[in-house]
Amino acid sequence: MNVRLRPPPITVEEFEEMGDRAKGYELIDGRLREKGMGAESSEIQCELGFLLKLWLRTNPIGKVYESECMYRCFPDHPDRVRKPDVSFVRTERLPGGRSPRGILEIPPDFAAEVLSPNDKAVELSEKLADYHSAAIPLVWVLNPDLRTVQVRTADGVIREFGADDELTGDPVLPGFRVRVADLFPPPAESPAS
Amino acid sequence: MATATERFITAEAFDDLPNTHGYELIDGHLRRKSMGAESSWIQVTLGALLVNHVRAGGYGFVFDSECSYDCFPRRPNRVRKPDVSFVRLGRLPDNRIPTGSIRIAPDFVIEVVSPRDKVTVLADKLADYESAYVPLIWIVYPSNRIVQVRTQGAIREFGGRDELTGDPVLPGFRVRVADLFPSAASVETALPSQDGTP
Repeated sequence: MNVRLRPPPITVEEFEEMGDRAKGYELIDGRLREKGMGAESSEIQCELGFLLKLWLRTNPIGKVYESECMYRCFPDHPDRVRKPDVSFVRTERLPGGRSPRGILEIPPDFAAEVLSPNDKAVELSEKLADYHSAAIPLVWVLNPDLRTVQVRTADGVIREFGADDELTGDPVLPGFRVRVADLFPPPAESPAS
Repeated sequence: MATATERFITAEAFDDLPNTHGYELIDGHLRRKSMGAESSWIQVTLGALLVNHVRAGGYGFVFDSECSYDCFPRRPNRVRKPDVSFVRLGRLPDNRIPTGSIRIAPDFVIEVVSPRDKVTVLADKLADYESAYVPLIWIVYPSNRIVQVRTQGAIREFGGRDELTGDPVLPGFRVRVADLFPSAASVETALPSQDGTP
């Protein structure tokens, strides 16, 4: 027989219970969706996370999370669990000023996505629409191929910056600055100097 | 088998190939454009709306997804085929449509994103259009019914009942985002009227 039953949708609670088996997946409308990740995007995520942590040492206003931190905070899709590649939440917004053990039920103040070669365009667009619906104040999309960063703010403004541009974390991370080129490994084709 | 023997093709050679249907030329290599029925429907719908507007005003020429553009000076062996494109009257040499590739940048391109399209491949395409100073780019996302509009230096996204305009290229061209996507309503309006039938 060719009958194949679709497994029942996974609830957020079941997803949270999955522990390590949920690693590398988001939960989109009851289905697991794999987060594509190569070594290059992993390196860039760490670099951005490191720069943020460094800045927070002298400006202790919040917490940085890596790409397994789960957020359920999307008004249009209450059953979606997203995992931004890098995210930041101001301490004053966390319950008791501490990171919860499980899922974060509030949107981050800042989320960054690093594109991987296998990421689908429609899936990124859906993710960014979710971020917009949750009114995340600042979103960065890092493109290692082009060495560009797309910056999206909650008012719907989208801007793109090239390697020589300087990004600021305003208004979420006031005073945090980084040159786009410093987020990426040096271009592959440039001669070694 | 690996494609180690894949031939390097120049933009001129691409123009001479007997059949490049469904392919673009990226840095000397043929690259398949993905396309599903849904994207095809949207392309034709948008193309038809655009043709109506452009012909009524005599504004220029509309092309479908097999029109080749060889207009990327920094990437000489690239030939792109936007899903829908428009060139203003007066820009083509002698105001004639060439039989092969067009060697100037279009004034308006539309890309309809298919489910399998990779985000980095799309970003690369948009970077090409922007490097060629295409003044107006629409990127249509059928899955979440969003249209991203790029004019030089500005990016905006529209959805639902928002109305898109052809500014700054075709200011009179207006279309509601919702009307670009297949729906029960569009099927109904497409059916012939039942008035007067026995």
